[in-house]
Amino acid sequence: MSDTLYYIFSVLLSLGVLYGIRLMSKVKTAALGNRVSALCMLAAAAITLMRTDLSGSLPYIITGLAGGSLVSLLMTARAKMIQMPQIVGLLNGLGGLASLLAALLTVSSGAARSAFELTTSALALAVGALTFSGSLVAAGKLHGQLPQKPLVYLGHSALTVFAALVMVALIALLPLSAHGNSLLLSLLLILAGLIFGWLFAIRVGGADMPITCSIPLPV
Amino acid sequence: MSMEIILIVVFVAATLLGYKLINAVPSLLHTPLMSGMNALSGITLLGIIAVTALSDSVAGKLAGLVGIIAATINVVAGFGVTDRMLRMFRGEQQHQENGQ
Repeated sequence: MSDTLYYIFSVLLSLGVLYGIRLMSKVKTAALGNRVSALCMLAAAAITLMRTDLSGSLPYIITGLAGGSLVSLLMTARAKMIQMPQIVGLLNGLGGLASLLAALLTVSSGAARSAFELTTSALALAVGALTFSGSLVAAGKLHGQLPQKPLVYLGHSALTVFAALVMVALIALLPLSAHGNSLLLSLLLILAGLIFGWLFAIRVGGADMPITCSIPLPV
Repeated sequence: MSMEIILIVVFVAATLLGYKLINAVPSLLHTPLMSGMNALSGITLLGIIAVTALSDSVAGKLAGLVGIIAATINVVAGFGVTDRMLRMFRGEQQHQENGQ
């Protein structure tokens, strides 16, 4: 597929998703809008698979797509309406996990070289990590596996601010460091993000959780 | 124009457009909308496929496998549960119309 064709498809599919979101603003057309968006996403995944040289990783990619789809079909069929908030929370967390792994592989494989690429990767690592732990805590609370009432640790606010500062420092440091150190810095950044997400979500009560779920949408 | 500038412009434009589109949605539809937008954020699937194809170590490929599973569930189950929520909406609406 030529680059020009690829960009044309990218624009068309983006417009398709926007049209889908627009349809979702009316009750009558909302279900159709969701399907239009889903179809555009499927086409985007197909184009990416066609355009990328999959070679050595093909078994991993196929297994991942097939396994993920199978789990999804089971989840969709079995989900009870009353469980929807925790399911959306869990799905949001999985999106965060995928973002952080994508950024980790980008950094560790040396694909990210410029300061711009390293900065955006660092942001994806931090946001992905805090989304993952925060959403899992939220889903756990909504599902009743974690205590519903807000949990406040000793020095909770100070710890939260400290974790946030560590994240900011590591995000600033990653583009400046030598490639040899970037994996270690990335892992530390993930750890700081996971701790921040946990501290942020654990002190929110069960009833306020749906709000927490919608905040850390992964990048 | 360099690629970086283009990417930042796309990011800002998408942010503004998203704000404008979401503002028009009635609060009745906020829950399925949140779920649908969450499914869209699984677009990271494209990125993780690309970096998994690039990685040459087994550890990297395994991390990619986990990421692809997570992103696929985010996308497919995300759209799936949103569809189920919205179908229920439609059933409710028909029910009301029949009742009137």
